[in-house]
Amino acid sequence: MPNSLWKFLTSLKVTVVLLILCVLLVFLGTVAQVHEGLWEAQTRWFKSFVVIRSATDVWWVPPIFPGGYTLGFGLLINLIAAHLKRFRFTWEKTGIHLTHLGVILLLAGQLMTDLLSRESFINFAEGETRNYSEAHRETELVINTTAPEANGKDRVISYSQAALEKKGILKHAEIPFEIRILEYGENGEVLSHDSIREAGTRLATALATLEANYSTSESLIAQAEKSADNPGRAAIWSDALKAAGETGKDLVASVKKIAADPDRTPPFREDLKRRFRTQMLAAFKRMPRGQSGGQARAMAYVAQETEAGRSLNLEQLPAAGNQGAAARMHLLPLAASRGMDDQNVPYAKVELFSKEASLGVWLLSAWLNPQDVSVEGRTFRIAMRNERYFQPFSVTLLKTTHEVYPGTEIPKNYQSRVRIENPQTQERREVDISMNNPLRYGGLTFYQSQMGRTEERGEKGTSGTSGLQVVRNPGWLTPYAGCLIVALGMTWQFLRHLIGFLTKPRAAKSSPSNLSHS
Amino acid sequence: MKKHLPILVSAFLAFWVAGSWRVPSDKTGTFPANAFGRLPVVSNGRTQPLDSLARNALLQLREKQTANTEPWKSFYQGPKILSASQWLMEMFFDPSTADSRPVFRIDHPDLKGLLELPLEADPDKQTDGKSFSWSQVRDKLKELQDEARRAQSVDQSARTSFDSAVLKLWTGVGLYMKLQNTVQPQDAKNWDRDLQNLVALAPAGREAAKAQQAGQPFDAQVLEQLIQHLQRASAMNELDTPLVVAPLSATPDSKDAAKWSRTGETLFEVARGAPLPASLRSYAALGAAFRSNGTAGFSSILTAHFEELNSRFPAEVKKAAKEQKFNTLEPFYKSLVLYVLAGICVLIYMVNPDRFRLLRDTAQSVTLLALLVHSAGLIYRMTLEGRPPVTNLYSSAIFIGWGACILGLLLERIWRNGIGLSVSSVTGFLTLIIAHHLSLTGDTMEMMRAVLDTNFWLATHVVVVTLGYSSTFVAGFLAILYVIRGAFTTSLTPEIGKSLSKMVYGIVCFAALFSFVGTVLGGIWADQSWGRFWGWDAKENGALMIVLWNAVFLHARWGGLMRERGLMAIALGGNIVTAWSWFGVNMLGIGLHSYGFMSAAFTWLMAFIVSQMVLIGLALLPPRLWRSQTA
Repeated sequence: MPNSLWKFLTSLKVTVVLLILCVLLVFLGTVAQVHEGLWEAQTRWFKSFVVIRSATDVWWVPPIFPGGYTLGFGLLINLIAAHLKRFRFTWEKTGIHLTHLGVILLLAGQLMTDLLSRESFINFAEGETRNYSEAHRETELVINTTAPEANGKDRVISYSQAALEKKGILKHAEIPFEIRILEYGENGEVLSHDSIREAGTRLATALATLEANYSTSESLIAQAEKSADNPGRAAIWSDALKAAGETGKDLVASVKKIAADPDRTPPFREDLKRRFRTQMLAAFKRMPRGQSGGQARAMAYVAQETEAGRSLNLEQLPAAGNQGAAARMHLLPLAASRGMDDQNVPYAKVELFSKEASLGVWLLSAWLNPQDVSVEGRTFRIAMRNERYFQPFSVTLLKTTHEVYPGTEIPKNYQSRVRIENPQTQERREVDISMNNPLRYGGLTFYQSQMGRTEERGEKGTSGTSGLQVVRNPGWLTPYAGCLIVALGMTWQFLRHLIGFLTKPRAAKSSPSNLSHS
Repeated sequence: MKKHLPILVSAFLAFWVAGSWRVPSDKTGTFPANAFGRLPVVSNGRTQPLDSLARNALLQLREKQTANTEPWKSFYQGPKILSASQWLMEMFFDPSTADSRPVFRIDHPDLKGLLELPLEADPDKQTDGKSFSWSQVRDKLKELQDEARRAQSVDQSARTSFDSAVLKLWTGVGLYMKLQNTVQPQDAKNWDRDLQNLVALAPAGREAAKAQQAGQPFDAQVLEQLIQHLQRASAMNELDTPLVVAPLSATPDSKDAAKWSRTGETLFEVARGAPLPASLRSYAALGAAFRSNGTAGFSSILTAHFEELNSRFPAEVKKAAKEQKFNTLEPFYKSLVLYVLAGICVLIYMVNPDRFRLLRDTAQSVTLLALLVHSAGLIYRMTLEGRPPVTNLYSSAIFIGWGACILGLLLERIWRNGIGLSVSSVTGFLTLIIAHHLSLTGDTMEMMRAVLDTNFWLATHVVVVTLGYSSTFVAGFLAILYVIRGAFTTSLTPEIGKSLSKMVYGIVCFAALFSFVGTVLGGIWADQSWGRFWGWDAKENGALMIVLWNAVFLHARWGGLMRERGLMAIALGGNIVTAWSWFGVNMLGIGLHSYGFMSAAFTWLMAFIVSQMVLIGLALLPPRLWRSQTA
């Protein structure tokens, strides 16, 4: 190795520059979270080698910046090289060496976590049992090869998201057909034709009523009288009145004034209609989306199309395919979102072939229930769902506890009592999981995250649901060890200074010189 | 005599502090406000005295803990000032009088314009131009509501100062309504009678309701009256009023505050046939006595009520009394005053160290006293809450000041040149001022959300990381002293420069240790509760920046990359990084530690950062432009 390079690699100046760059990177990566969201900012700034300025960045973001991996590896190399060059065991330096060893361990541990850890979740209601957890983002295509009526365990063949993204042909010895992926998207909504038709009809009716309500001057006054007591509607009226130059307090009186003037009435009516129409479309888009939000999503969709000036032919809606659910469904591809909490729902259009004969085009999406495919007298269930990670044990949710502080909504305690059953070890025991009290079992850690209640009412009313975050992280102990070593090293070094300082003769104290690093 | 000055001064000040150890007893012939303020109530999820409820409300409304009923009078004209508890008595029992008290502080001229309030102070018209009463505000309630609705829909960071002022006032209005509906409906003229009426009416009313449901003939008049009562009660309930009604029967577990209930809720229970709780009856009787000006009657009802409460809920009564004592003591206000006095002494001493030797000793004993009061307050607060010292932003400010004060005194013990004392007094003063401003948003002892509800991590991670902030600020403050003395005065001799730079180095070692350990402990907490050691959360990143920055300082020094002044510039940068991490990241409105955008604090943060930049610029000027000759 050339001498100058070695000198560069081991230089303290490089350390300081790298550290300063780290501070700047952390700052930029934090501020970027405001617009990019945690997930995206993390990937772009910290889990990358280079960050290149994008058009959406704030003006003071530099055009190019080293990413987290570059700086992390840089520090690691610099640290190791410097130690190779300078390492010499003395009690004097033990503290410093320990500190740096700990830092190396921390950096390595973080890298290990990045590469090896996996996060998933379980969301279940009281009484339910799971022997798998689900991925947050990854989707899989599954084919259940067992007929639904067959007893015993299902035989399921699954393909991961990566296989779908390649858009090739999927074959399996146990399946008598092959799957050709025609189209795959990271995010898309699936709306049934029925729901679109219903939403479209509702919107059309509402718009027609609106048209009728404001068609004549008399109806105008009647409407104003009706709206005066409704704050939401009255606000729209007063905005329209303001635009027409009427600022009087009494809504109805102002309207009467305009209605009396034939020149002012038509433009006022048009303006008012336009305002109510905008409000109506906005209301359609804002429908609350519950568990079964198909109708709300369809309403938002028709409102959006109407707003964009595209008319929908409700009689002949385009179908996403010709087999299974696809024939009754409309596919609406969406841009993949990168936010932390936004869920993407991938979809695939596939054509199935049995011995070169097409079985039609099918639509697969997690929005849809599993679909039956009949080939050679056998029935297969095909579906898309969040990827599942199976475990050799099962977890049953027995009871949820959700306490708040009296008279407030501030959560005091989230707690799930679960039963673990492991046939391999003959274990069958109950345990509590709560905030700050995770369960570590079988190489996995279960954390309490959300709490809720089921939508449907059972015999005893609704039952509690619990969301558990499930993490597999083989390197979870390294930060503990790293932290301990650094703390030891720093304390060592620090105490040496302090003791040395305090035991010096008093005369030396007035101008202490031994605090400096030797 | 002269050499006893330090002792005499601090003894006098200690006397002053000790003076408020006891809550003053109420004068006979007046309404016993202090005893009233001791009554326990459950608000914000915790048991507290009415005194705290009143003080926090006034802090939110007018940034003071008292109600000045004549703010247009200057101090020496002796304006009539109500204590928080006196004001709350009026709010509870005599709302119409309370409505004339100017307790809403409104500064924004546009907001005053919107509400058609006088803009300028005018003693003749009895206004100071910024304090207004509910009867002045309520005329334009509709306009205020419209503006508040609009401002609410504006994104936090895009709100104008007007929007913020509107929202602040709107929150204040909600709080005001809440208090006036706590023990009786605000429009009740004779609540005592109304309540008896409800109790008498309830059985017949229930019969009427049953009959109506069954389709049989019923007494429409009685039913109508009952419904009116319940409508009032449900209007009270909608305001989420504090829980003033003690449970009917003593619960075996008296810690279970969940059993306390709102007046409105209880009225529904009474209508359903439950017996009338003693609290409800007592408050109604207190109100009647208050309105008829019967101070003796009021006192005896209050005493009886206390006895009744104390027999069943001794823990709550004790907790409330303890907290009232803390409120009266005002330890953080007192130590703030002491820090100011100490700071003045140090400043004079520094002008001429040889002549004012005695002032340094005085400053030292006053600072020690201040630290004692500060610590006492900290410990008292901890016992009240049953928590480690730092639970929220407010307490972090108090704790940072405390840590900095101790570090300063340690430095002073070693160097004895006033520098350590200036660290203690100035940082103590500044952090307590910041804490005061943070307390204006309401209750500073709020309950901890489930994920934060762990004393172990609050005691380790939070305390250690806050000490890291504290020591980084101390290093930065020493650097400020260095630069200002060096650039503008000739007092920075090479000797003092050297001692300052050693202090900074020692403190940065401390800071590096604390901020590192604190940050990693935070990571371990995150690993325990969310399953990831590091998640690049905004506050985590802030702490990491402090660790890295301290590492920059240490490596630059060890590598000999920077001289004294360069290192001082880095220490000044530490101020920026720490301020960012303490306040800045909370303002981004992202992550797990988000407290929402605070526009006023944002301005101050920016001003602080700019000032530090200027100082860094000064530190990097060529030495010949400095007035002091340094290394």
